[in-house]
Amino acid sequence: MLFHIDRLPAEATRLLRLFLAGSSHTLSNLVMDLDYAAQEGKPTDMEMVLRLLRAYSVQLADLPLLMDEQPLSLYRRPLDLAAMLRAVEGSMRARFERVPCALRILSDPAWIDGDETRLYRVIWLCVENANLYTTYIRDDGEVQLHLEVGACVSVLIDDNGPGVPALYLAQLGTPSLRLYDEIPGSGWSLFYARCVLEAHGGALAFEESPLGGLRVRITLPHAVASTA
Amino acid sequence: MSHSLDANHETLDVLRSFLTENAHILGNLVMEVEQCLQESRPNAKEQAVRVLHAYSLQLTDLSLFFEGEVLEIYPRPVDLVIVVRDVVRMLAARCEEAPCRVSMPPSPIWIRGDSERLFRVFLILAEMVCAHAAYGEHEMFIALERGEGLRITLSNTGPAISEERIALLGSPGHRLHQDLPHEGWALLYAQQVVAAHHGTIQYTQSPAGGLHVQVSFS
Repeated sequence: MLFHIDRLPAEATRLLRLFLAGSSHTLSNLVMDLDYAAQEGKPTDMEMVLRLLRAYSVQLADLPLLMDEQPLSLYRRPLDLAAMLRAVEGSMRARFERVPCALRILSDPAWIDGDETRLYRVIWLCVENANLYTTYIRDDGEVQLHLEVGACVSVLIDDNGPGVPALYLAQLGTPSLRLYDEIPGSGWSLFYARCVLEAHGGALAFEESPLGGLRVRITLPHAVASTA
Repeated sequence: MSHSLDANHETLDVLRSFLTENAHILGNLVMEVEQCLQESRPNAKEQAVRVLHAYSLQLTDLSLFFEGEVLEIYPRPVDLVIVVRDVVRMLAARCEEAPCRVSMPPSPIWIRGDSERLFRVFLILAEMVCAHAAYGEHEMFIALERGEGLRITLSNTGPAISEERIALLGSPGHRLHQDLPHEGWALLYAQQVVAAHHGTIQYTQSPAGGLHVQVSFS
């Protein structure tokens, strides 16, 4: 199907604009992290760059399927969520020099059966959101990541950013929802995160954080082998 | 899993085409970066970051376009020979499937322009011509010539493409063949950048039977 650029529906233009702004922000942040590492004389971690790009490319390819409510084909294998959380935190270290990030892993390793590329992207998106919103709103921003294991494996991402009014908490994770227009984002990240987690038999939930901002709660079932 | 996206079919089709095309672009980008690193090419990391930066710039520019803003460039001297050579280098991995012949003068050819945006545009065009050629196991050709103005030609020897399909190039949602990825959003961007440099892009059938793309600067 072809589209006449001058006759796109207004809603299509709005969504495209959001996508473009969000994608451009994601990539320019990545370039900024690389520039920062170069300026500091640190080696460029190309494996990390490739991992992020691959995961982002998978996200873009997945979204049309999810828009059509089609299932994702997951490539599951045993994954240590503790290692993944450390990798995400490490990949954003440049940004966490402005907004300190405390990482607390209460169970190491924490095994799940999951699609590594997609789950990496989901955790990265949630942590980036926390960092982004906190950075935009305040100079003394703070992010905390917790991993704990109980009946399921849980990752809690807390920030002291603006938070989300209780009225909207239940709506987070629906497609194209934007709460703060001045902060870059496509409005699709949390929708994607929710779909990927649900496809894993997990869930994405939101609540008020003890830090004053938003708490994102990611839950995933244990790996079958670890519960057997 | 369900959602309630309040959008009509056309809006969803627009988004699907945009996402699919950009997923493909990013997939290619990953492949290019991997190739650079595997071959331990000199400046591989710098090249990789450059491609990434140029793509990021493309998305930012397109987002401004949808805000109704005209693309502004900050011209400075650019050697087009170097720009095109860098593009050919980035495409090296894929040229195994569609061998690429290159004809360029040795001396620098200076224009006033934006080197990163021009790099991105020639990469978009070269990737399209290369993918189309590789689809039918054909060859591609890139030439840079100076006459009354400057002409950069990218062409391939096939597969054959009708005038009707050529006329649709640059329309978002378009793809050269059903089996090839969309390229319309990227070509829309190429069109904007070249126009901002007071140039034109023409798509025609190549004498050898394939696709012929000519970028001209006065």
